[in-house]
Amino acid sequence: MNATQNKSLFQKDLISEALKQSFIKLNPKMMIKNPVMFTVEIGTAVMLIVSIAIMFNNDGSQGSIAYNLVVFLILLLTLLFANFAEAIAEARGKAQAESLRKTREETPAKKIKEQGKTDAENIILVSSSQLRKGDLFYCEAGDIIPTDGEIIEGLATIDESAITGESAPVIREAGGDKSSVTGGTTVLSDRIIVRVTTEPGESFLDKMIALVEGASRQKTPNEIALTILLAGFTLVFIIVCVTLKPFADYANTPITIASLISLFVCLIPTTIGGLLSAIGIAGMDRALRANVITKSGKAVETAGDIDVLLLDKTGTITIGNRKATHFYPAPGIELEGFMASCVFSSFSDETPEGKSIIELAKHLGAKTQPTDEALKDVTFIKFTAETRCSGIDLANGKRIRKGAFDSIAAIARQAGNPFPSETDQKVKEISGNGGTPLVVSENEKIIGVIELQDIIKPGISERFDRLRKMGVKTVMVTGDNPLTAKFIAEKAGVDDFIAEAKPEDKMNYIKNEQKLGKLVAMMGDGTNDAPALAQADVGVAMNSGTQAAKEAGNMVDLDNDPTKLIEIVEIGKQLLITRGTLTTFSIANDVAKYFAIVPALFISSIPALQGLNIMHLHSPESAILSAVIFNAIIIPILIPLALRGVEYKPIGASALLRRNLLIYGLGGVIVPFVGIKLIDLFVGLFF
Amino acid sequence: MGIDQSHGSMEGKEVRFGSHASAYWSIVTTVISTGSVNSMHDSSMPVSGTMQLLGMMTNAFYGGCGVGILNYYIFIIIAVFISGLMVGRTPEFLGRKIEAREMKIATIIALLHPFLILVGTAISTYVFTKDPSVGWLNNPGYHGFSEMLYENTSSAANNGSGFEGLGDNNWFWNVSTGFILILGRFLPIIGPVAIAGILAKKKYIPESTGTLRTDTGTFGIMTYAVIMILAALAFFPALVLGPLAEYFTLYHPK
Repeated sequence: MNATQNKSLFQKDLISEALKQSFIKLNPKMMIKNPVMFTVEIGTAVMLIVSIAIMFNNDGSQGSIAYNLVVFLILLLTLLFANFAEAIAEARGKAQAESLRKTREETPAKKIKEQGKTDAENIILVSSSQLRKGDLFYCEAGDIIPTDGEIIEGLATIDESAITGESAPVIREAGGDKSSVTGGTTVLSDRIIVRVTTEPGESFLDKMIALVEGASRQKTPNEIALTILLAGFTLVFIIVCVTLKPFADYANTPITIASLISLFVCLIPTTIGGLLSAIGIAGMDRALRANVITKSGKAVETAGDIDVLLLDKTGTITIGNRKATHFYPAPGIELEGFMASCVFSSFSDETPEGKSIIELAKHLGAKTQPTDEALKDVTFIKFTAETRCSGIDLANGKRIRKGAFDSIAAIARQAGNPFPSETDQKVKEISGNGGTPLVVSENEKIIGVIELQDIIKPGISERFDRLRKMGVKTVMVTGDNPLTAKFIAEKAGVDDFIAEAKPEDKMNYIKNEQKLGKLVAMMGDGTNDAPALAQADVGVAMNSGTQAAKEAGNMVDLDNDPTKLIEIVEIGKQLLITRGTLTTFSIANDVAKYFAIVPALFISSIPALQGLNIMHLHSPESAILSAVIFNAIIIPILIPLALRGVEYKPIGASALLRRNLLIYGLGGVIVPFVGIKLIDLFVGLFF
Repeated sequence: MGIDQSHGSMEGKEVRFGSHASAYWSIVTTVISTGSVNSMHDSSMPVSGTMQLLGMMTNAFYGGCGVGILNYYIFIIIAVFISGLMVGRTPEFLGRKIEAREMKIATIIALLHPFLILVGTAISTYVFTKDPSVGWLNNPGYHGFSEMLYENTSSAANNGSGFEGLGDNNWFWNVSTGFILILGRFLPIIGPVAIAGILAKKKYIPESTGTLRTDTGTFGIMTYAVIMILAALAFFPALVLGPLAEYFTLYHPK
């Protein structure tokens, strides 16, 4: 993590809000959700009563007033620190979500009274909060889209930078997979009619804010299991402390209530108990910082467990679309003339491939701007799925066609022209290298072949390597033929691929993997992706995708970035690791606390037990106070770690366990010895 | 006077075996729940007494005739859970996910042993403190505490051996240790079997490189640490008031 993010962990206004919340959260009704801290609260209440009782009638059996009051105050601080951890995590998450929401509040909306009519009489200006699901509104250039919706009529370029931070405008149009618009974004050109898809207060962001605020936050299964374990630890130590009373009576070593409660609070896992909910909220917050809206905390957690990752080839593994990389004219054809023909044939071709052909020709120095005369009376032949070729008929009668190898070969064969063996050779070579050959003919004669190549994103194979080390299998989904798919899969370093994929193929692949007990994540945007998104354990819908896709998935990526899945998996793992390591740290701390407190409890009546006081703490009171103080301040010290998350390193499970066990387990044993001793040096001055 | 003390204290020890074999067997018998003795444990030095008690308090040594393997299995479940989290994966054991229900059972079973021993000892010390004339103890004080602690520990761990020196053939001890014995034997059998049943019903997850292997030294240390902290540390205050107090007063008198 860099320094700027560090600084933003504790912003001034967030802190004051969190401080206020720390006191509000002392309400026992709220505390009871966290059994560990609730028992601390009971202990604090008992100490308050004991302290007050001593003020009126001190017979000396419970120690000095100062000692009791200090114990009470430290316990109160422990509670406040734990509440603060939760409150600051909430405040940060809320602030992040609010900043996204701010853009979409109270914008004027042009509501359409009656469908089909957009004249001035039929449009009324209302506030965005008055729009209800199913309402229609109208937007034209310069308008801010008031709320989430689906375009039912028209097409527009939209600036989504308010949400995604991406400055390039995007095109959204009615029908198809790009019909969804987000509140807060701005229409740059054209006009659209949009149907509202969410009630006010029910958009994904609103749901996310509610999740963070805790109103609708439900504990995730893993959190529940950990809470049970922590409650178990708490119970063990309740038994230990309660039974200690008759033991001490038997041994004639009276224990003060303050010491007994201190022992109890130190032994129960308050560190993890106090930080547990903060860790969970911080996980969702980290997802939000990555511009991913999660619909539940569980989804983030599941992401950490993902075994199989389905990734679309285009945009994820390769940059955009295929690009022309070479022109190979047939024997006897001039390169210059061949390029000119290719350029002509691509003029009406709006596909990225067609554009890349013109770009490449320009790059190689070909004349790419045909004169108006040359383009007079031409006929463009559009690409269709049946002919699988496109082209142009020039005024001078020249017929240029380009397309798939077999369709152009058929055209040549029908006209009785041979297919040059050199070109045939080239076609095979290109296919074998993972490229796509585009054969070009002129007047039914083969004149050459254009090589189209997929450009693999730089650095992507390192990311797949990292995923493999995490134990995640990557699967590339592509419409390419198996040969090309295999080549790209190998080059990019994915583990498996689905070639010539149809939407059902994705679904079947997911189902088969799930049958084997694996957890599958995928990303999608289209309506035909929706079933697969719903079937996948983690389905990330792109924000630009259809409403159906967004409803089906359990996360929405505001950036529409297909590589985001990789980040999401790491965020999920980090969440679990942070929980695990802090639990270990918390429990390992008990060893030192035992050695600080237990001798202190009995030393006045059994002086020989001084031999157990291995830390040579100053006095019984200072030993107990030092342990309780350490127990309290370790919570705020660990808040930054809880919020940022423990770093995940893909070094294999056993190596990772060894590393974390050394740092947080062994560290958890040693740190409190040092910490308690240091605090005792100071506390020993007073007690 | 011609007394040879090179063998240490031999009081109460079986002369045929000597102190080494007596001490050795006292540990073996408490660790693997055999319960047979070749010397009076009451006469062991405090540190030996501590180790005998610890053997039964841990109660998770497999290979014995008690519920050691079952308790060990419970601690593995807990260790798997914590270490699974530490590597960033929902914990799994033998290819099955460990979730809330299994954790609940494992936690209850892990709690049971300290609960039975500490509560049993608390009741007996309370009764004795209130009315020392019940006449159980010949040596009140730290050693007497150890005797009562041992009696309850041995019952909960189903060991059967006695520290002796405790007047325990009366209704109080016969009834209280009887209850502890039944609970300490059968509940730890029901729990792990229930967990096994739940796990067997779950979907099998094939091992991947991200799976935490449980047959490594690191995981062994993890399990050991969980056992030490959960099983042994819960008894630390009791041990301090019993054998440890005795040891320190004997050897480090202030």
